[in-house]
Amino acid sequence: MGRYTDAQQDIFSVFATNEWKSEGIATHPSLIVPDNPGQEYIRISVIPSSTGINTKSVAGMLLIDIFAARVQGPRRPMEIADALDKYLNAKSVQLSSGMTQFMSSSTGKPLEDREDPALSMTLYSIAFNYFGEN
Amino acid sequence: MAYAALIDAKLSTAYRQLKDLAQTVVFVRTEVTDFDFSSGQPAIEAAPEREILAVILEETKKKGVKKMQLLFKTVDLPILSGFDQVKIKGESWSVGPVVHQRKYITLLDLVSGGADG
Repeated sequence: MGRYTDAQQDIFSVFATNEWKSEGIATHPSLIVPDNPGQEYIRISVIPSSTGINTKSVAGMLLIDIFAARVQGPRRPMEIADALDKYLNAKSVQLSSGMTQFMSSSTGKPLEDREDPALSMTLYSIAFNYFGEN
Repeated sequence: MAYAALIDAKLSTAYRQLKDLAQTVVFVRTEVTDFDFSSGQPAIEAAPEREILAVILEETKKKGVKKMQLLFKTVDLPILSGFDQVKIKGESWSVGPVVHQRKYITLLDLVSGGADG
C-alpha cells in the first residue's frame, strides 16, 4: 500500500485492539457515524497533511472529537482523553510496512454539540509521523 | 377522526389527485451499523426497498451535476441518511440535504449518480 493508506491502517489498528475495545467507548471514523450514535462516543479523523522526512513518509494530525453527555459535566471528556492517551500519547504502532509514531496530545475547549445540545464535544488532537520504508 | 390522522388522510387524497404529477419512487435505505477498524470497512445493512408516492418539484443541472427536489409525506419515510439511494425511472439518485422536514411533509434534495447510477 501507499504511505497514506499505511498511516491510516496503523492508526486504525489502535482502535481494533481488544485493549481499546475494553475501554467501552464507542468509536467511529468521521463520515461513518451511525444514525443513533448514543450519548458517548468518539469520532476519528486521520489527516496526513504534512510532508514526512522522505518521499515514503508522511506526517499529520489525528483529530478525535469526544462526545459525552453534558449532564456528566467536564470531567468525563477528560477521562476519555486520558483513556486515549494510554494508547496514543508518545506511543508507536507498526502494523504496515512502516511505523507510525505519535507525539504529545492536547485537548480543546468543550463545546455544545450543534446536532445534539445534550452532548458536549471536546477536541483531542495528536500529531503523528509515519515513517515508510525508503 | 383525530387531527393527525385527518391531515394524513387529506394528504393521501391530495397525492392521489395529483395523478401523474406524483410518481412512485423507490427508496433504498442503507444503515451503517458498525465499522471494522482492522479491515477499514463499514458494516452495512440494507433495509427492504420501499415504494412511495412523491412529487418532483424541480430538476436542475449545473456544471454537469443533476439535482432534483422531491416532496413526500414524512410518515412514508421519517428517517433519512446520506447513505440512502432513490431510484426514479431506473435512474439512481443519492440522498442530499433535507431542505425542509416537518411532521407531515419532507422536501429533499437528490443528486444524480447513486451507487449504480
